[in-house]
Amino acid sequence: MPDLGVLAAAEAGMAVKRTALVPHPGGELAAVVAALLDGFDLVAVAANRIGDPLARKLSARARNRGAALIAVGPWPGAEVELSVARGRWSGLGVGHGHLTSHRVEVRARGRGAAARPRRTTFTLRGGTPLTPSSFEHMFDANTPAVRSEP
Amino acid sequence: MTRLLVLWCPDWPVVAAGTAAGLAVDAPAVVVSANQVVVANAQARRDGVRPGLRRREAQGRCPDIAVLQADVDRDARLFEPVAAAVEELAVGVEVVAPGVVAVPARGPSGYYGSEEAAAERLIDQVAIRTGAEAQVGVADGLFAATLAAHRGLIVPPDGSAAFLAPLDVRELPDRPDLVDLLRRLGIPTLGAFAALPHTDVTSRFGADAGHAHRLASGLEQRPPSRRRPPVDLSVTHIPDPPIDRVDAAAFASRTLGERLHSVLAAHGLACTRLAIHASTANGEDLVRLWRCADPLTPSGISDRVRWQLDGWLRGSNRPSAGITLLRLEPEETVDGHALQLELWQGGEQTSRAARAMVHVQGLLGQEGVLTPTLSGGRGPADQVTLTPWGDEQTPESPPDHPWPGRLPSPAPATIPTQRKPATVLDRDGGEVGVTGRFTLTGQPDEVAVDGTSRRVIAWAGPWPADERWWEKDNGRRRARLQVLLAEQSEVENQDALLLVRENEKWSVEGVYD
Repeated sequence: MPDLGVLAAAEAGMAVKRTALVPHPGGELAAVVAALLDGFDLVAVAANRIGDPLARKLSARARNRGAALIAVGPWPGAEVELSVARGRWSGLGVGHGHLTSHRVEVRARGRGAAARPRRTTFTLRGGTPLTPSSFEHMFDANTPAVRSEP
Repeated sequence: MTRLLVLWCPDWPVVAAGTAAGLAVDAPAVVVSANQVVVANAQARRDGVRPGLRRREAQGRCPDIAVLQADVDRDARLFEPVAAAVEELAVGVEVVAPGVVAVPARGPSGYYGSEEAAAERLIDQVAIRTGAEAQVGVADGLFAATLAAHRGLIVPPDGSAAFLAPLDVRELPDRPDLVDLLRRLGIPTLGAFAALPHTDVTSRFGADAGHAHRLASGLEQRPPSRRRPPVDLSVTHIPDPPIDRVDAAAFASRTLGERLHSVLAAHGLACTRLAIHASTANGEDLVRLWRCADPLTPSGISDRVRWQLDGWLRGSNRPSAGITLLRLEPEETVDGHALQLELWQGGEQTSRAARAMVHVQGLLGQEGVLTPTLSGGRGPADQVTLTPWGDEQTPESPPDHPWPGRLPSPAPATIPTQRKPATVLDRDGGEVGVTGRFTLTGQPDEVAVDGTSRRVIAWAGPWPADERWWEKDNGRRRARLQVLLAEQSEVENQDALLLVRENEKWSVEGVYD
């Protein structure tokens, strides 16, 4: 993810001091993700194509280390898949103002307890900071992937 | 006394900083630390900029001077290629300081016929391999050889004392007080200082002045050592059967790491630079140096050995046979008490993360892992400074200063690394531009990026960013525009873009998603 907007992530509550970026893992993607899972609690990976066996191996490693693996893009065998739709911005007029808040509808589907697709609407940016509680009410049971959201 | 050949790169900190900053070689530049000039290059010196000046004063004397920050790590890192280039032609290379390498003169001068020929070869080699300018000096003893290198001289054998005698006493390194005192006593040259009896100098001015006196007399700094020769601190492991699998390597590395650490601890030392040698059954030799800022702990040593073996065994050019001999050599040691960690430092999680990052750096190189710091600036990309993990994190510009015209929050979540051209059209299909007074030439109605064009439903701007106009080369004049593009259907997202116009062209600077 070389094009990640670190500033936006910081505004969303990411602790910049406790973050490391590996912008170009290249051909060593699997080894890099495995190494990062050993050291970090939360690893986000953007992989365009990832093989089924490799994805399974990395998921197993994450589970084993108690780390959360967030894939930006498709990931075979993911516990929960989150997607956004109906994103609506407000604050910007015609020639005045600036973007202030972003309301989105988040859709979740997955396996196990999260198998039933759900959707909810909330303000992503500019509103009150996200808290785990805004996610938790989406599911009857707390699946690990959801609890570890930042 | 050993005859040494010293290769010296003039004003190395400036050269290194300039290379890192992408400056032209002939631009006047200084390296400053704590607001004082530490080193100035020849172009800056021509305008009267001297070490010790305040930054402002240097800028006053030479207005177009480039001011660079001192960074010893960077100097040392960029000097490695120079040392490697010298090493290709001469054995026993010793990096004295970033910018200075010494090699025993006997080998190369015998091989190339004469000391002059060897010096010429080395200068050419360094210039070809690294583009750095260098001078060579040959003399007996490191001090005389370094001074000879500053002058590009070859001092005849046993001529060090005669060479040093007429030189200014200020050439003595790192002893400003002593030099000042000697000059006030009317001792202007090294020769005059050397003429004093050694015992008198030592009893009157102390042991350090005694060392300086030895240097001035053309002798080695310390008298011939009466200690026993340094013990061999390396540890060797001959695995049986040969290591060809990573799990076997992990096992071997753990025992080796602990052994090396206990050998070092027995001598009261800890290792900061570690050479890992491996030989395979087919006679291949693999060597890699690991340098680290903190002294290595036993687990630190074994981690590095494991990663290195991992890299060799899994890399693209893996050795053709199993590893039959493994040797660890501490290349650089420090006193062992430096290893005592602070009680509240780090914690298990931090060190776990640090280990993971060093591991990834082993796979991808030092620039592979970046740590972000928030810094000051107006655009979204300016407000983040990325530094390779392990380097000191200093924001490029102070984050706590006011930055008028800073982009309002929230910031775009995606910042394309490649410039993505865009076109902004008004209702009549004409291109919308920005005038010199930062007003739009039309109302944006349509934005096309990557060939697809979408209607604009809201926009704001242009927000001017006229930055660093007082610098000739770094000045940038830009205008930013925030646009909200219409959704394509009820369930689709609205896309918001941050467009920037520079040099009469629009491009996408950020995507709000």
